[in-house]
Amino acid sequence: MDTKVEFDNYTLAYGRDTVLNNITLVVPRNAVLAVFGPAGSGKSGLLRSINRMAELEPNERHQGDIRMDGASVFAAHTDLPGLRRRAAMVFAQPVALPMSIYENAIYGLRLAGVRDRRRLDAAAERSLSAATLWDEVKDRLDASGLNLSGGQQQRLSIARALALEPELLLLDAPTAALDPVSTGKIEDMLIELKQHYTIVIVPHSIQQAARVSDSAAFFLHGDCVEYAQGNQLFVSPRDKRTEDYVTGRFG
Amino acid sequence: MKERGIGILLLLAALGALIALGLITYFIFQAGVPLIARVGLWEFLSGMRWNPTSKPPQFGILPMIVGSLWLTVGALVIGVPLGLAVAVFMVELAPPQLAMVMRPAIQLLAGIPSVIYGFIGLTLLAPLVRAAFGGPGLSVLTGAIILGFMILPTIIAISEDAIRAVPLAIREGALALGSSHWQAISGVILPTARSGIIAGVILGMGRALGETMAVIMMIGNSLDIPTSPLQPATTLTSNIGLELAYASGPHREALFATGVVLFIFIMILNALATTFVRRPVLSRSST
Amino acid sequence: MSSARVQRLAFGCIWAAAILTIGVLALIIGLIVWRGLPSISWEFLTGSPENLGRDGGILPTIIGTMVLGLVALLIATPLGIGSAIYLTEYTYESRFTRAIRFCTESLAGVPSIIFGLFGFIFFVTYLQMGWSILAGGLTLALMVLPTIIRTSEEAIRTVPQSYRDVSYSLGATRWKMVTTAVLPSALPGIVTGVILSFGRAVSETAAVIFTAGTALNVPTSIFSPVRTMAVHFYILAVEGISLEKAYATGTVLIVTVLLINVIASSLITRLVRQRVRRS
Repeated sequence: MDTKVEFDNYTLAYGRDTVLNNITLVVPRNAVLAVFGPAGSGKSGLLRSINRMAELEPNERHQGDIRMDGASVFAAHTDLPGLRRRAAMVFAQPVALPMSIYENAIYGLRLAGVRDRRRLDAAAERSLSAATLWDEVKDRLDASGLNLSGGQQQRLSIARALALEPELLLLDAPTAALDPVSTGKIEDMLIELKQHYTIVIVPHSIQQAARVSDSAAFFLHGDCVEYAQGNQLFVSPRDKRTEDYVTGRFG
Repeated sequence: MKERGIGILLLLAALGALIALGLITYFIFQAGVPLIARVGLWEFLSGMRWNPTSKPPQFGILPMIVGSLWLTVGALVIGVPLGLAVAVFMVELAPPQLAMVMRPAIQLLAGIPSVIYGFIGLTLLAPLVRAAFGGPGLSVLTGAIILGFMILPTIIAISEDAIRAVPLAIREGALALGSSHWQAISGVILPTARSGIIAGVILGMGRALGETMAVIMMIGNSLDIPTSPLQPATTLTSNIGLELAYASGPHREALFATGVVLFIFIMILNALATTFVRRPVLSRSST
Repeated sequence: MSSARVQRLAFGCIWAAAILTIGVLALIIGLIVWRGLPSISWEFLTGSPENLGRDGGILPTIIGTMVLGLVALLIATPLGIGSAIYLTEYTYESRFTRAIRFCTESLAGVPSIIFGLFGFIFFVTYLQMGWSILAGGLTLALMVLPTIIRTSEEAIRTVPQSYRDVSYSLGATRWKMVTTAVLPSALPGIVTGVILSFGRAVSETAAVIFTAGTALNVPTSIFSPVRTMAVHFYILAVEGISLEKAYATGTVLIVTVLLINVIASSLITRLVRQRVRRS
């Protein structure tokens, strides 16, 4: 199993609140890792640590290390914008920026300074296709992104991330605000995408975790309680806490 | 690196207000305090004669202080009941379409230049006052009426906010106990909004105290202490506005000194207003 | 009296107050415009004053008003927007930001005569600018700065946090995030504040008369003294030069202020429409 990201005794705190407690975890390359658990267990913190968005919070402190492809993300002269382009994130809330669909899709590339029109056009088509949105919007690329439905806006957000050709996709409950049809479309998309990308997803239900993931980690109160390949966590968890959560004894 | 530079530029921009306030305070005080020190603070504030051309010159600003006070009180007498009434109207009584029309109208009232107000006082109101009550017309009364309308938008805006901030539960509670709409307003809503309304009144007071050009046009500019609202008067502001252009030497310093007194008064009022805005709406414990 | 009668009386008074307020507004505008409109002609708007303003037009004052307002905005707008950006995007709430906010609120409460005094002492005398557009513009800039900071801050705060998150997560630096994700959305609110500040600058008299002077010539440089419409109106009225010209000048002044208000509020309605579309 090839490792894309590894957490090494990583602890994260915002002020006096400990968000993540001594996490040691491995994210396998070109596979989907589902990170699940009740609210407040540190799942978002985990994702935001990888692309160093966590440090945008006031009073953020951390200990330990996170390594991507063997190199620490906290190294002294790390290019932060570059890191975030390599590990692109999609949030729970679908966000269409107030600009055209086309501009939304290539927003990240513009931020990176790409100006070549052909390259931008190609990236737009490629990423919108990968996000299964191309056929629906290819005739109205100049229309405002605000006019899309919630599901379409979320696929647009994913396209926006894909346009950067990242190595890693960090998906924080991407289908939480979506209807079942859109959710299904996105789940199918993930199965396609994992051939080329490493994906860490916070699923919005245990069932979704079971459906899409190649490995899973259960988080509780900032601790990584259990971690296993395949569906083992859902079928035969080793830790009682995992079992209680998976069977719905608490939620 | 460019990011760092931008951050510093923005920080400098943010310091602008601080630097401005510091400069204003420093230079106003530096220009006016020496004369207050020479004349004596008490003599300056309580002196009844303002005679910059006599030998020796006399710099007592009591007539101006009294004038400012009379005018401000008068403006509040006109402006507060009216402003409160319109605020209640906007929140409680006005049908939505009417409120939509009144809002820009009130904003317009606020946007009319003060010299226009003063002009109306000078050409329209003063002759009316003279015809109705006698006296010269250009007087404290004329000034107070016009000034009352000038501070109206301030009082309306802040009172409206305070009234809107009253929780729905309190409003509905009063009505559920069988009170009429007016009883709910007068007995419960207005008292609850009291702090905000007081803040608005204090800010209106500050505005009235600070008005200059309109006052000059309406108040008659007499250096005697007024004994009735029908008499002309001078305020701290009108005195500065009238004489600064041609004053020199100690006379000019005395005007700066008047500015110092005015500045302190108004800063105190503003600080007072903020304490009322911060105070929680529900200061009485509910049972 | 029964409570129903009390209510009728009270509500009657309140309605009367509302009607009185509108009535006074209509009276003020109507009176000035009614008496001033007949004197307004193309020559009036493009000609120069003669005989101290008893005859002729008010072109220098129109130019003076516009130039002074423009200079004030040129100075205050970048300062104000920059300040707002710093306070909202570059720092967290702290003693420092509270101090800055306190200064801004205090500045907003300073009466215009004090600004006039300060401008006279500092810009005109101490910095030796003399009565000039520069001195007047700087003074007016200080007066409108709090307004621009306040409205810009408000506009920036209404931009959804998700825009910032998305921008950062795609590799934006802070400044890029501000310019691509925040400012475009906040722009209508910011521009409204700037336009309203221009209206304030146009109406101002006390701060202007002691810093920009009262000279009636068309200004030739930034150090020329200049007379604004408001100052001209004041002088015509108080020195009894010409009531007729005063009414006319007042009309132009009121129409200008009205126009500015209308432009600003139409921007606000466009803003509301945009907001509705977004949600």
